[in-house]
Amino acid sequence: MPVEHLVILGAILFCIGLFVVLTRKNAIAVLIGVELMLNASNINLVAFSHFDPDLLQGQVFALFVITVAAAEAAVALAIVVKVYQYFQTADLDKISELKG
Amino acid sequence: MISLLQSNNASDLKDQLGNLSEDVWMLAPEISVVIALLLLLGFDLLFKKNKEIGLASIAFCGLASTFVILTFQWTNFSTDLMIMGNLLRYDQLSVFLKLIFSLGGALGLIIAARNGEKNNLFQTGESLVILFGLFLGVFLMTMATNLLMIYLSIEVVSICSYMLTGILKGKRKAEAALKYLLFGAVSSAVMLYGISWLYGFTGTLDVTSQAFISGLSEVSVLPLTIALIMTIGGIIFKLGAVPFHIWSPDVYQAAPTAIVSIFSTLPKLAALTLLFRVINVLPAGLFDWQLILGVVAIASMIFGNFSALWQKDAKRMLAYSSIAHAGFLLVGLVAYTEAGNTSMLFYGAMYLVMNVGAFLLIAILERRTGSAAFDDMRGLGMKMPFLGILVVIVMIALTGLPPTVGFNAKLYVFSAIWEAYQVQNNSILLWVFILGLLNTVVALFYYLKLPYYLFFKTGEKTVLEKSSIPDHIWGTIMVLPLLIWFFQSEWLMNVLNSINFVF
Repeated sequence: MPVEHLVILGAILFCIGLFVVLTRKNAIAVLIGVELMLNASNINLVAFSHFDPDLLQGQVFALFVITVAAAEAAVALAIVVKVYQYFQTADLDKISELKG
Repeated sequence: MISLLQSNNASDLKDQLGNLSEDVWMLAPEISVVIALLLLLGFDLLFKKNKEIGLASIAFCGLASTFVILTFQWTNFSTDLMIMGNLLRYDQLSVFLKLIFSLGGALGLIIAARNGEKNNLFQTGESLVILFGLFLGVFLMTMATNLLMIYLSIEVVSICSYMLTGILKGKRKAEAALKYLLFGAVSSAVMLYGISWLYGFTGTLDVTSQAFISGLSEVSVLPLTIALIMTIGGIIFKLGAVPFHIWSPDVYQAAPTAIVSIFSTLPKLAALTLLFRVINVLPAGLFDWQLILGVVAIASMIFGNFSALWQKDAKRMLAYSSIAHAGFLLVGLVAYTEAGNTSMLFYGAMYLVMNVGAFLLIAILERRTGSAAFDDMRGLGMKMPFLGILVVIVMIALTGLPPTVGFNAKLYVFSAIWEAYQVQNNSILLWVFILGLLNTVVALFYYLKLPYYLFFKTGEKTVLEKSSIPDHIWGTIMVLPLLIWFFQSEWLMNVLNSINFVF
């Protein structure tokens, strides 16, 4: 498969992720959008490692990104649970005590 | 690591491993931080009651040993080195920054220790463990020269920051942590996408390598600009400058004051270092980063200062002030001269001292009144004149007026940008210069608001607790350097001038 197809797939995935992040009101949905954006970068990294003389840097980077994304998701869900305990909702428009 | 992957035969691998084990000595400060982290974790699990003294002593000993190792590295520094298979760079800049970071971290812990029983960080080990994770992250940020390390170190700092914001009980803390997390996750995802394109353009992750520079020169302007703006955007998020500042007022207002004093200094300076390293490897004329960072600096100064005018809460006001300070820090970077680099570092070091001092005093006042709102602080200066005077000095330093070192810092930064304008004749430098100076005047109005409430308003609210002698001592220790260095700033400038900024 040519590299261009993979890069275009990555770009589409990134745009979908960004769209989800910007339009959805639910915290969990926003996190799913972020996950899509990270995976778009992973596709890019793996695709571009085709041109890399060492051939591996991008793939190793993608493995690190997967690990970091898992850690971030764990922390994110913990915080969402905590917010839900206080606000009884995960709707971002209704979570707005801090203003000024 | 990457060069390890390249090696094909066994003897080559053996050499590489030998090099890595030599490089470990350069990482002694990081290892010291990790050992302290593990000790805190173990101590927290083993003991059930009265953990405060043990945890506090491990934390302070860990930072002290880190500081001693760094002093040793600073005095015995010989030459700049790329270590761990070109992932990190060991140079004077990183050692100096780590020195002031370990000092700033210790001061932050002192604020936490002075905070008394309520919401004490030392009661459970978790928050201290995460705090040491943050220290490890900022240490690595000062050394990272590889896109992988840049991403990982920023993520280490970010994830620790989200947890520290929300770890204590409270509705507002949870909300601030969620907002911080969502903004942070999106901005790091955008940065990662930019990084993946930079990797695609160049075929390497090492920003100092020749392949990276020559690869960038072959790309057309538009994709290169987009990828670089995405990458720099993620770093600017950690710097807390406009347009990636939205999280900071909420986080600063809600998080514990000791934690905020660390958030507002360490990650900011580390991000500035990363930005410095990235723009210094860019080939000249490819991408007008001076224009972009100049606009970011001007926007941060204007937005931070004007928003701070309307705040009713001291911590929220300091949040906007730190956005403005991010702009002032960028001024030295935008100048792009030797003097600009030195003045940026001077400003950064002084900003750390001033800000930690300001948060210490706010924490002391907050303990008396139960909140950091201006209304609750009415008339406190009359009841505690000594602390009131210390607040006035810190606020004058943050504004940048003599006789405090804040004046020297602003003077160096703005004279650097003026000289740079005369040499480079770039109009954005002139705009940064003029608008920056005007902003300093605006800053005066809100920085003097807190002293005004302390001394000229009368309040009926009773003081919960008498001011104690240790408060006075710590306040003096943090404020006195601001006055002394106003007269003795050449000493620090000489130290900074000895730093070699060249790659």
